[in-house]
Order: sequence, then C-alpha cells, then structure tokens
Amino acid sequence: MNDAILQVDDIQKYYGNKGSLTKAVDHISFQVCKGEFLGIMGASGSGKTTLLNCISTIDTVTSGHIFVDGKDITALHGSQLADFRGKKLGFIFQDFNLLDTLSAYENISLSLSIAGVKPAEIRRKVRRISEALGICEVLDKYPYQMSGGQQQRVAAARAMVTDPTMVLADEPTGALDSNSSRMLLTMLTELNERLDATILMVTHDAFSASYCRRILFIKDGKIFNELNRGADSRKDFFTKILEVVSVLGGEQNDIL
Amino acid sequence: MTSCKLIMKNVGKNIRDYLIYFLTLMISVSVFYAFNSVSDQPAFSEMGMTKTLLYDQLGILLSTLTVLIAVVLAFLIIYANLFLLKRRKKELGIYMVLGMKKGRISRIFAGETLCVGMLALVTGLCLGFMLSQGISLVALKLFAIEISKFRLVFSMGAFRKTAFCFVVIFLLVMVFNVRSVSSVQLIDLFTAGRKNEIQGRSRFLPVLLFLVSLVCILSAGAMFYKNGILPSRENRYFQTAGILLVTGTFLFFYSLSAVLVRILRANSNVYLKGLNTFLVRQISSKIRTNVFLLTIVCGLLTVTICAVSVGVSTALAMNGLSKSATPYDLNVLSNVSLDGDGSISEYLASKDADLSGYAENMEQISIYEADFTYGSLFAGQNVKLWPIDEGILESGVSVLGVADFNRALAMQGKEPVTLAENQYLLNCNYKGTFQYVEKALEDNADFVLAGIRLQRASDTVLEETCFMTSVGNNDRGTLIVPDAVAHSLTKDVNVLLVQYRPDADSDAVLQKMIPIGLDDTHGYRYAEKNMMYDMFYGLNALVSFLCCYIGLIFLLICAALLALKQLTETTDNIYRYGLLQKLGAGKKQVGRTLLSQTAIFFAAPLAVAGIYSTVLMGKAMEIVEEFMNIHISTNMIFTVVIFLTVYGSYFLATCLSCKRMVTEHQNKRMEE
Repeated sequence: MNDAILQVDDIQKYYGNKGSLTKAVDHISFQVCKGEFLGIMGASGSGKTTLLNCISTIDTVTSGHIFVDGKDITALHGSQLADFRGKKLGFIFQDFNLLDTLSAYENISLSLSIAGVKPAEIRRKVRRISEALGICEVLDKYPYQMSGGQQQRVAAARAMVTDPTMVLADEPTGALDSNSSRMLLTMLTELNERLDATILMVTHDAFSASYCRRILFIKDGKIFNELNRGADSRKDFFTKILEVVSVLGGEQNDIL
Repeated sequence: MTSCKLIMKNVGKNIRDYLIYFLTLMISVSVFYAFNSVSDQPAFSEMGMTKTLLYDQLGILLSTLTVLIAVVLAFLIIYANLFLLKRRKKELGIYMVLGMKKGRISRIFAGETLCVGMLALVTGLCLGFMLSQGISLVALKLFAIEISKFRLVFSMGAFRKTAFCFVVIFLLVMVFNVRSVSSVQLIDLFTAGRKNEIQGRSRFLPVLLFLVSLVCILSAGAMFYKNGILPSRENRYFQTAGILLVTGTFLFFYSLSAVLVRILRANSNVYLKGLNTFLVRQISSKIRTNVFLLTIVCGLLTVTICAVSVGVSTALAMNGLSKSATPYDLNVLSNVSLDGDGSISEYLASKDADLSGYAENMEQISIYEADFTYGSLFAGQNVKLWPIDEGILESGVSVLGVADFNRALAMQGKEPVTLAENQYLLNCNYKGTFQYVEKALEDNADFVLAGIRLQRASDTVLEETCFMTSVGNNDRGTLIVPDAVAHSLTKDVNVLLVQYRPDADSDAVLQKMIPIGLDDTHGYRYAEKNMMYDMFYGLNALVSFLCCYIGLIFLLICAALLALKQLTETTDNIYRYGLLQKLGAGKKQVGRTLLSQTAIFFAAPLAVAGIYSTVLMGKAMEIVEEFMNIHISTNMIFTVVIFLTVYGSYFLATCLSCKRMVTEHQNKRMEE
C-alpha cells in the first residue's frame, strides 16, 4: 500500500530490568492508510495502550521505527516532537483531559492557537467542527458544567479541529454511558466518512470496536488476529468480533 | 487565544485553589518589610548616646538576619512552588500533547509565577506598611522613647530591600519552574495521578524503633539538662546530644504511626467505631510519608517557642525592674581594700572629673562586712535561691551605719529612722532574697555582731534603696546598725551618691567617668542612671525584637509547610472521600474525619516541640540570666497568643479549604 500514512515497523517496548522484564509490545508491525478507521482490541494488560502511547510519542520505543507520512517519528526530539503532535495528531482520552480553567470554546481553540492559526480562521474552524459534533450550545460552558458525553465530544472536537493526519483515541467511550457512547461513535464514523479523517481507536469493548472498518487484536504484546469489516453490516461485524474475542479468551464474560 | 489570557486564567484559578500559598507569600513580604522598616522611624534619632550605639547594633544585626531570613524564605517559596507544580503535571501533559513547545509552556508557568509574585509583593507591601507602624510603636516602647514622637513613615530603604529580595526569589522560582518543565517526560505526566504512600510491613521493627527513639530523646534531654545548651570546648556532649535528639525525633515520627495503629487495633471498640479505621490509617500513612517534614517543623517550632518566650520574658523582667530602684543619678563605688579609705569626690576631681559643677547633692556612705555570712543569717530555712544568687550564701552580710542610712534617705527626701544603741534593722529590696530576709528577721529577735548583742527594732523589713549597683541587682539584705557597731567592722566599699542639677548634661558626666571605670589598677566602678536605663532598655529591646522576628518567621514557615502539605494531600485523596460518601458516610462524619486529620497533623510536631522547649527553654533562660545578671520569670502568654493567631489561623484556613474541596468535588459529581 503506497498511501500508508502510518507505518509501524517491528517495534518493541520493554519495561523493568533484567530480573523482571515485561514485554509490553513484542515485535509489532502494521500499516494504516489514509481515511481508515482502525480499532485495536485486547484485554487489559495486552499492551494496546502502550502501543498507542508509542505511536503518539507519549512514550518511547525500545526498538523499531514508526513512520508517519514517511517521517520516522522515533527520531524526533524536543520542539520537533511538539510540532509533530500539534500538527499531525489529535488525541481523545478516556477521561477527556479538558483544561477546566477554560470554556469548551477555548479548549477547542487552544490547539489552533498553539499551532499559530489566525483568529478569523480559528472562529471559522471551531464553528464548523462544533456543528459537526453537535456541541454548539455548550461552547460557552466550562468542563464541570457539561455531561460526560458533551465533554468527550468537546475533546473530540479539540482533536479534530486542526485537521490532523491521524486521530488517536484511547478508550474514548470508557467513561460514558451506552447512549453517549453510541452518539460519540456515530459521530466519529461520520467524521471518518465525510471528512476522510484517519482514526486509530484503542478499546476493549466489542460494541465500540464494531464501528471500525478494520480491527487488530493484540495479545501479550503481539498481533493475534486481524478483522476487516468489508461489506458486512455493523451487526454482522459485531458477531465476528465476539467470535475472535471468545477465541482470544479474556473478557467474553463481560459481553455475554 | 494568547499565552497571556491562559496565564491570567490559570492565576485566577490558582489563587483560589492555593490561597494558602498566596497568603504565605503575602505575609512573608509584609513581615520582611515591617521589620526592616523599623530603623527608618524618625523618632529614633532623638535617643541618647548609649541607646544610639545599641540601636546601630540592632541595625547591623537586623541586616545580617535579613540575609538569613531571605535565604530561608527563598527555600520555602521554591519548595512550595515545586510542590504545586508537581500537582499540575496533568495540565502540563495536556499542553504537551496538544503540541505546545516546552519554551512556551515554560513561559506560561513563568508568567504565572510573575503575576502571583507581583500581586503578593504589592499586597504584602501594603499590609507590611500597616504592620510596620505597629511594630515601630512596640519598638519605641521597648527603647523607652516617647510615643508622641512617633510619625507615620514609608521606609524607602526597607521597600527597596524587600522588593529586591523577593524579586530575586521570584526569579529563582521561575528558573526552577523552567528547569522542571523542560526535564519532564510526557509518559510520567499521565501516570502522575498515582501517588505512592509508604506503608509499613514489618510488625516488630516499628516498636523497636519507637523504643530506640525514646531512649535517644531521653538521653539527649538528660545531656542537655546536665551540660547546658551552649556549644563549647568543655561541653563535648553538645554535638552528641544534638545528633541524638535529631535522630530520636526522626525515628519517633517514623515509628509513631505503626505503634499507634497497633495500639488502636488492639482495642476494636475504638478501631471499628465510625470512620476510625479510615482515620487511623489515613493519619498513620500521612505521618509516615511526611516524616522529614515533621522533623524539620518540630525543630523550627522548638526554636520558635524558645526564642519568643525567652525574648518576651526578658523584656517584661527588664521593664518591671527598671521602673523602680534608681533614686540617684550617679553612684561611684570604691573598693576600700584596693583604693584605700578616702573621699571619692576628691579622687574624681584629681582625675579631671570634678562633679561639683554638675551635682546638686553629694553624699558618701560606707558599707561594712559583717563577721557572719548570709548562709548563717538564713540558717534553719529551706533556702532555694535563684541560680545567679547562690554565691551570696558564702559572702559576709552587708552592714550600714544608721547615720549613713539616714543621709541616703534624706537625699531621697524621706524621713530618717531612729535606732537605739543595741538595736538593728534589716533592709532588703531584692525579690530573690526578700522572703528569706523577712524570715530571718522573724527568727532572730537578737544576735551578736562584733561581740555586741543587738535586738530587732521593728518586725518589718525596710525596702529602701541605699545605693544602686545595676538595675536588677539591688539590696539583697543589709543590716542597719548603730554607727559605733558598724565602725568596729571591716569597711568593704565606699559609695558616692550623686544627684544632678536639673540643667546638668549627663552625657558629659558619662564621658568623664568612662576612663575611670576602665582603670584596672583601681577598684572604682560607677553606675549612671541614664546609661543604665539605655543599656537595659537597649539590650532588652534588642533581644526581644530579634527573638520575635525569628520566631514569627519560623512559625510562619512551619504553618505554611503543614498547611500546603495537608491541602495537597486532601486533593490527592479526594476520591477516597467520595468513596466514603458512596458507602454511606454522612457529610458531618467526613467533615469530622478531615478535622481530626488536620488537627493531628498540626498538633503532632507542636506537642513534641512543646516538650523539647520546656527543657531547652529553662537552659536558655539560665544563660540569659547569667548574661544580664538578673532573674527572669518565664512568661508564656505572648508565645501562646502568637501561636494561637498564626498557627491557629493557618490551621483553620486549612480545615476550611479541605472541607470546601471535598464538598465541592462531591457536588460536582452529583451534577454529573
């Protein structure tokens, strides 16, 4: 595939010392193309969050390389890293991580002003993304005045507003009720289809995963399986995921 | 959105959240300014010579102390700031994840420091200006200058000093901030929420350590009690005792929590009642985690208690003493065995110190030494003298002829006493011996002096001042006997009593007396009223002033450290309180738990420091007594008041903030 925007090349991440070595990520390689909605699934402790942290430059790899837009991000340092995060990546966290001194509008606009976008442009972009995510009414509110679902959509808006190469979402529905989860996932899908945004989502929840186009299953730091949705409906895909999960062992009890 | 706006927003939030940090900054600035501004009070320019000298001394001491205090404050502020920075790691992480460069993040944090710092500096200076007027008034009183000369002044010198010191401190804080921002790893920021608290595992080690700590502390106490607290060549135990005390304190706090838990768990009636299980565990982990902090605070508190108590007690003792006991303007004493029995005024005139130009009244009286000692005078009594007086038991009782005594009284405008040939009177105006003299008079209806039996002429002890030696050190008991009896004894000293003319210049007399007092070949000594006043008021002022300054600053530091620690730990543990409420604990119950935690956290070091102080203070007092040659009765009221206001208000502020944090958090959760 030539239009790969993310290429993970044989990366490893070890924790601990010689006595007790933990291989959180053990020789993983894969590619993500532009406009993909990729899910990474696995039980707790399988290494999926570590993998995401390495891709997002929050953590460093022990060995191997990660290329984004053809550039090796494991070789970046200091302000190059900051630039990379600001321009190429958008983050959505499980616990939202909004700055509670700032209103929703300011939280979204902050990432643009960090990147040095002009004020008029900022207003236009914030309005566009807020409309897409249905949060126009809460823009003047502060994080603690919003519901969890609203906060997560503001966080999603913050991640998307800079038109990043990739949006990285770490268990984005983890702290939401099922209704808010469904709403958020639908919106992510829409953004993926309409705006051609590339999304990488880590989750342990089969329902959330069923919104993705492709899923990588991780076990003990290695890729265990891969599922493509193809032409399946979301429901069929969900059933297939459950089958893999039951083979994978682990959390099928949660789902039944 | 610009960095500026972000800075303003963060400052707004931080001042609300870290009110205690801001208050501490502000109070430090104000105390710093206030004490440094005292020397600019114009009323001080009207002081006498001796006082000016001491006052200059105060200036020098203050500026040395200022440097020391500035360094200590710098440490406090940098520590508190790093501490608060640690708490904002997550926020820092979000900035980094959003792609903000470290340079810009540093600028934001530095900008915040600058804003908070400048705000604290300005408000602190305003507060300090008000405070300095009060301190100046107190200082004037200490130096015994008329209050009417007091003027409202803004001290430019102190302002410059304060501004300079704090600007340097804030710059240092900024440097530290920038350094810690640029050295963080992003991955750490997302795991910063996990807070490690130390929990003990071993079962017997803590008990053992607890016993060891008690042994250390007790032996250190015994050493101090026996050998005093001044480090010197003879006192080789000083270092050992010091090290033992510090180690003992450290081990005490280290093992205290484990021992506490063991004792309480043994009693399940207490342990399982209400939230006690939670409370005990919380307190024990708190003490265990903060053992270094508690040891330091305990040490500082001990210094504070000792300094303030000694200072204030000295001041009060001095004030009480110098009000009485100076009916003459000048006394010159000559030692008969060294200088021979001659006229003192003639000797002075021969030494270019003719007093006739200054004096309105002059009398010379003679003190004789009896053929028995004070020890035999007080025989049969259970005598417990103040340490500085213990030597008198071996020295002979002073004796004064009745004619000399009456001449001294006449100078003071008092009625003379009459005495038959075989009668005696006792005079005493010294608090330390008065009760024994009184008892001696009661016991001895008659006694034999120089072979003559004397009867007591009166049942009451006279309380006159025959001559002055120094302010605090007066008549410890003098026999007044018929002249014939007195003359048959050995003459000890001659005393020249002088009262000035109203227009006499006391400084000029003093100038002439100085070389005579310094002449080692003769035994002439002098006591001048103004000099004594100035000396004692000056010394007194110096000691109490410095003690209070140091005490106040140290107390502030202790209270601020404890408050900050308690507040940030409450934030860290906020989920625990949420959990408690979910488990059905009422708001009141949770509030009580918070209160007891804060109370114990504040009280533990104070209690230990209190015990240390009682031992150390006694010893410190002995040193001051010896140095000043007066007896000082310990006065704790001022210390208690200072502690109640400073320590108490920090305690209250902490309690209220903790409660607010927990309830606010709870309300937030409810809304969701």
